[in-house]
Amino acid sequence: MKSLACISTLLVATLLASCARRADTGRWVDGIGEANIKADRALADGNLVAARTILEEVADKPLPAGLAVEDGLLVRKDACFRLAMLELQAERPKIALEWADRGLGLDKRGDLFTANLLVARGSALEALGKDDLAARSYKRALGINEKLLEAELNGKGGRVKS
Amino acid sequence: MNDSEVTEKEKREAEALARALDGDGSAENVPSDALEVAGLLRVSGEDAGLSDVRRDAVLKKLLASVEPVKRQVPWLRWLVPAGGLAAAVAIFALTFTARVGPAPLPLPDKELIEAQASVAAGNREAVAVLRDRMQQYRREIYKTLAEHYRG
Repeated sequence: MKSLACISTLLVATLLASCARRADTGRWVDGIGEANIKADRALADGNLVAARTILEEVADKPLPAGLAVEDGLLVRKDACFRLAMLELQAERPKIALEWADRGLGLDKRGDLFTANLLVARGSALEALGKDDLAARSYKRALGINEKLLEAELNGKGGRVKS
Repeated sequence: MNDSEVTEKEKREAEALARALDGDGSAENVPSDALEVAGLLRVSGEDAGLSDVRRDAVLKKLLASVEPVKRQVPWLRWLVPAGGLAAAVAIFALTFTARVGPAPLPLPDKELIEAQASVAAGNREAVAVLRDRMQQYRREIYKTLAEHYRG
């Protein structure tokens, strides 16, 4: 009887921990969403330093255990894209290139975020005077973009694979 | 009439009962319940015992009708708690190692994709459009993610 009570307690504790874990992931996602909105406001105010600080935190924030890998990569790739665009705006193309490469190094998926990173990479290379390499990045971005447009026209929801 | 006085009917019944106790089967006017008691008293003596054959048969029948006593297996009493504990550990492990599937994200709209294509084609003016469209799409994405992970 005692052992049954112990097992019941353990099961209830497990279920509670499971709920807490899900809530943690939900809070993490909310936090990242809010951080992006704050970065938008800082950029709108022309405060590049504040926006950079916020976005760097998003890019480096450890992913919670309950988050799907695909969703975690999406968050990081988007943060890298935003930082690359911010550095281009700040006329720091070399750092912009670093952020674009960091984002592209995360995975090989041909989704919207990868295409964005290729566009940012192309812009950074162009600003650095490396037009041939920039053209290659733009071309890859357009290849993904074409598939995205096709999927959108066919009404296919969800992620687009390369 | 006084209760202590014996009636003629009671007297006749008492005499009939006495005869019945002596084994007179033809006794009349005996109340049926008294007759049953008389019968029981008559067979309750030593002569009323069961014969060896009859006793063995009754014993055999009795033993056959009794449920055999199950022997206690020492490890069996630990089976239920052990099984429950194993289930709890399995649920615990699954909860903390299994990940939720990716969120079903909305597809980027046509304007966003076109703005991206325009920037990739070298149109600098489209950068602002791409930024605005991405800002809207990002909010949709975080809304979907939040709904997915809050459950």
